[in-house]
Amino acid sequence: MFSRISKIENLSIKTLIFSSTLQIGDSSCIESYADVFAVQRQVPVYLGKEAEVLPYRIFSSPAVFLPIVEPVTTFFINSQPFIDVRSINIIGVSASSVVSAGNTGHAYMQSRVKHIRQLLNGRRAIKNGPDSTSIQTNGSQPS
Amino acid sequence: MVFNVTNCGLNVGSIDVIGISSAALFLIGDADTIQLSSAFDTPPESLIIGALVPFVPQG
Repeated sequence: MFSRISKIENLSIKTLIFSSTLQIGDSSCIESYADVFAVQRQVPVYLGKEAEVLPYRIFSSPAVFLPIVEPVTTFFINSQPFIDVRSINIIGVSASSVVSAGNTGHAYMQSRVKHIRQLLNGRRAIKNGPDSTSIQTNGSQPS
Repeated sequence: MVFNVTNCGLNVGSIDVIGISSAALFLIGDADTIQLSSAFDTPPESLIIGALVPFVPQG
């Protein structure tokens, strides 16, 4: 299949969190999912268990993938057997991401992110803004 | 479809990355197929102004 070899002289990663993977060597398949529910509150009150079930459509709707429909016959001529990288410096790898040094067969990555901000009511809550009591909404609350 | 590729030498000096996030893939090597999907939702209605209500009531 593939014949090139990845040669990395120096690889530095500071942080790997939230099910991220550092893969050294070949792999036949990479499959990765990340569902992220990011809530920012003006007052840092988090009850801890409120997001065990995520009733938003973004998390249940089918993922949009470009299907592999056309059969493609590929021919590779590798006149140099190595992919040479002198140094890689990565600060953070997060949320089911994959750093892979080596060849892979099939890679399938999927992410869904929902952001919500919650602010308090009243004039003091938003400075220099319109009267915030007039833009009340709860449109994103689960029905 | 027939796809012919000739890979000549590939030499990279240095790569600096701040962050790889949300099911991203950083690959040094060859891949047969890659499929990616991403959904990001932060609609105007997601700004909730009012009393802080828990999202899912605890049972």
